[in-house]
Amino acid sequence: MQKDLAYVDELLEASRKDLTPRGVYLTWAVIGAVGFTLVDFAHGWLNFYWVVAAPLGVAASCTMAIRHGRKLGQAGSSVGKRQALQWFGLLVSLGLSFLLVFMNHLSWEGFGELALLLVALGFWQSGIHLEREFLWIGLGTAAAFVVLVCSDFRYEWTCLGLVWAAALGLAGLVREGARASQRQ
Amino acid sequence: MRHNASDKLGIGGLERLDRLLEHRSRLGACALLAQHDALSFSRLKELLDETDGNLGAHLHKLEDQGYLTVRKEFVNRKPVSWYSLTPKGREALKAHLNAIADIGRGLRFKERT
Repeated sequence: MQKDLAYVDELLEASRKDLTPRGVYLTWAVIGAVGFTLVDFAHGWLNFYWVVAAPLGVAASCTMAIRHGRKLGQAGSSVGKRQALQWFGLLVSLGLSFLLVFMNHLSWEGFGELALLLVALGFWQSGIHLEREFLWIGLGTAAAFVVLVCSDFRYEWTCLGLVWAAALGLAGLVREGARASQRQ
Repeated sequence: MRHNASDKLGIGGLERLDRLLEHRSRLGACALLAQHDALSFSRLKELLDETDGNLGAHLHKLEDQGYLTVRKEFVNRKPVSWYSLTPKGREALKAHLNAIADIGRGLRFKERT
């Protein structure tokens, strides 16, 4: 019976894997690369961009994840719901941290850094509970936060955007490769 | 919660085991369907590592007992069967897993005494 329970555990673990399609990684790679680069080159468009791009990115990610699940043969996964709640929570916390700027508790520059730290925490938690690959992206984002706070390089946000896009793009491609080799 | 002597030894748990869920594949199918709203036949086959014939027979038994419902649709002109756990199936799975847990507790109690 213990073996049966262990078997059920393994099955559930297997069914939770590979639920994030490559398109989601690539979407956020592009959104992040453009969004971070705007800090250095078109600061005036930054707020408008994130207010529009972030919710659109979440909606696109949900749509892609649902379509991917149906293609895989899994519908209405509890893991998918947890993923959606996790990222929705991050989006809300980022939105609420705007209050710190509006109430003059924080500068815009400080807000950018705080947002990066929140994103790092979001990826770290998602890595622990949902997708292991996100742990490394969380760690990388936290390292980028330290570099941004401590350095005074002119194009630091642009560099961050490029590294971010490369990390997410690579993670998406590695995922797709692993999936393809599993299918063979 | 009070336990009588047979519960402490896990004997009550043995009586509460669901015969239909004693088979690994049927237990696995129900556990997977408790986690996801619906799974296709091919996804269940892939996860449970069963042949078409065996899986079909197992799912048929669960469906006959009212533990599962099946919905058929066409995707790109191919038929896809989507399976879902019914409330009766969910209750049965919960009771079966509780019974296994009680038996486990009973065995540990027996080892200590």
